[in-house]
Amino acid sequence: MSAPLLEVEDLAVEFLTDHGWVRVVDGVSFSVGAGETLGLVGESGSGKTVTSLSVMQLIPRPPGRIAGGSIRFEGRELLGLPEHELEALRGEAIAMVFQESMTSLNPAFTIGDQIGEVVRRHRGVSRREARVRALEVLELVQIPDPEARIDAYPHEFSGGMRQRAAIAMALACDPKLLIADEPTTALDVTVQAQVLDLLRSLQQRLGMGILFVTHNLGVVADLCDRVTVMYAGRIVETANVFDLFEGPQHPYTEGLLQAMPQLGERGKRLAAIPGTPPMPWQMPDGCRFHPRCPYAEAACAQQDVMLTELGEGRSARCRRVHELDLKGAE
Amino acid sequence: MLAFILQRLLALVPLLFIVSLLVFSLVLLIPGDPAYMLAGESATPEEIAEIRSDMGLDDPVLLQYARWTGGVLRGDLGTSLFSDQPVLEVLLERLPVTLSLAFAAILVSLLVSIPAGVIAGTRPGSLADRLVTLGASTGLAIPNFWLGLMLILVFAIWNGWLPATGYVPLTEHPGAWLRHILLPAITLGLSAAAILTRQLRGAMIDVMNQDYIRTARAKGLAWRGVVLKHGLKNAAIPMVTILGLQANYLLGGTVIVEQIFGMPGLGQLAVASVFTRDLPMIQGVVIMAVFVAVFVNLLVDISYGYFNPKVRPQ
Repeated sequence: MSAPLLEVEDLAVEFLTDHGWVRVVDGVSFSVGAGETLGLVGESGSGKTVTSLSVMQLIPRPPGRIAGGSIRFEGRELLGLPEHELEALRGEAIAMVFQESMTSLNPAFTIGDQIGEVVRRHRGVSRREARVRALEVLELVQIPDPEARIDAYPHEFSGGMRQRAAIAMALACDPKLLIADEPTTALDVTVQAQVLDLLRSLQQRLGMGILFVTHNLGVVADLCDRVTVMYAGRIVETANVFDLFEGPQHPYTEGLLQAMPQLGERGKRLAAIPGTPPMPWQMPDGCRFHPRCPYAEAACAQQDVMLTELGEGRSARCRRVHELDLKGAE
Repeated sequence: MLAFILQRLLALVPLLFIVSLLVFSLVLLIPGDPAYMLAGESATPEEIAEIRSDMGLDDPVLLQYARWTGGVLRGDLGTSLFSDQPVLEVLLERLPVTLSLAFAAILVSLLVSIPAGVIAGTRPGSLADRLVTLGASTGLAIPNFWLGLMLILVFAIWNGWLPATGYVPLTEHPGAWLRHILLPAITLGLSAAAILTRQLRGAMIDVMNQDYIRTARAKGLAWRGVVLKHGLKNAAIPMVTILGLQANYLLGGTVIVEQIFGMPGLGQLAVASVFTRDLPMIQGVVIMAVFVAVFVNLLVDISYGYFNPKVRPQ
């Protein structure tokens, strides 16, 4: 594994709500190496999207704020960087693809215009040169007949095509790190598979690091090298993808794996994790997962649980980590 | 685009037919007989009857309508009962006054509402936003005849910076034109500015929360560029609709503003013609107003396609 491209350490993000400042991301640390894909997994509201937006410092301020921690990109601290230096990084060294391709492209400008814009911003080239680059990346993401499609508007594209165009826009300046926030969630399953294939082949060709945010463990198995699982604003487990699927070390990860639909098991009820995630302003004491955890003991509700290092880059936040023998995916 | 415009123009035919019916029936609907007006108070019934038959008022209504419409189509709007001048000639003399007033008023409203709406809409809840919102409510509440009188009082009478009344054609002396048009344009444009500001503020707040704004930020664009390019073009769509409606209200507003500032435009002509029961002239003014309104709406429809590619004809 190469030296980390992105290192996030002890990140804390807060939002101002009716309940005052509420910490929605708490003590999150992870790293992404060059050419590596890290999956950031969790339910809605676990803080994974906020974490990914924080890297680019794109969380809406107000009501959000980064309350502490460190985000280093190629060794350089991003927190506290002046806005114009952040702008120079966004879209150039770090690019982002969002979930809703329908709404994340501007309906009032052509695809070619929106791709060309990021090239002109960072490369300072002419309109014509930017258009040439836009054609290149449209071809790269396998949009058929890019010459004709470059002047189309987003509404003239299908969902899958729009997401390809959004990926093309992200890749236009050869970023070193791509942050993809549920880029396939809104797509049909077949289109989803195509887009994932595309991302995988692009990564092999371009060698960028990917931070892949998703709630879908199937997608993680397909694409990621390592996985970080978040629950209620905290990391509960980090492991490489094979270890995680084979032998999860946190009951929440086990629950997620068991909740994955498996082929060939007709008629069997899907396992579900009972209960719902806590609201950020009423986090339970002790382990935040204990109210839903089948292995919880009285002590789990009392003291805060730290991440336990398990060697080989594995860690889990469970006080019974050494006692439990959790079930992996089949 | 050309086909789209042609299609729009064709759609006008039935509209203009209905308008012609309404305008023509003014003759039948308004009280008083134009022949009495023309003949004067001491006229004998025989004289009046003669004038009636001269004017064709004894003919069947359908024939009168056909004769009148035929004239309109040939550009003959009749002759003023009052001054004996051809109606069209008088209208064309006065049209530039009203058009330059209306366009200057629209310009004023845009120059005020775009910056104000953008500033307020990108910082909702801020002091600037509250000031703009307060200003817009005030602007809406002020009647334009009162505002016109106040402006005359302050800028013309007390300080003497600008003329209180009159009009100089743009082609004759651009500087003098500007000095004369400024106060009327502000008077007429202020309420439109207030309405447009509110509209743009709301649209801007909505647009700035859209995902594509976040995308634009993720591309490394500066806040300013994001607002002015990605925000404003989308927020302009509802604003253009309101602008089209406002343009029609502005035309109506010229009637009052031209009276206050003594401008020889269509509005003043309309008022004068009503008082003298100069029927052909009233008909002419109404037709001219309809044409201008229809033209403005056409411009609005065309500009939709620019701002919103989804409605662009394929």
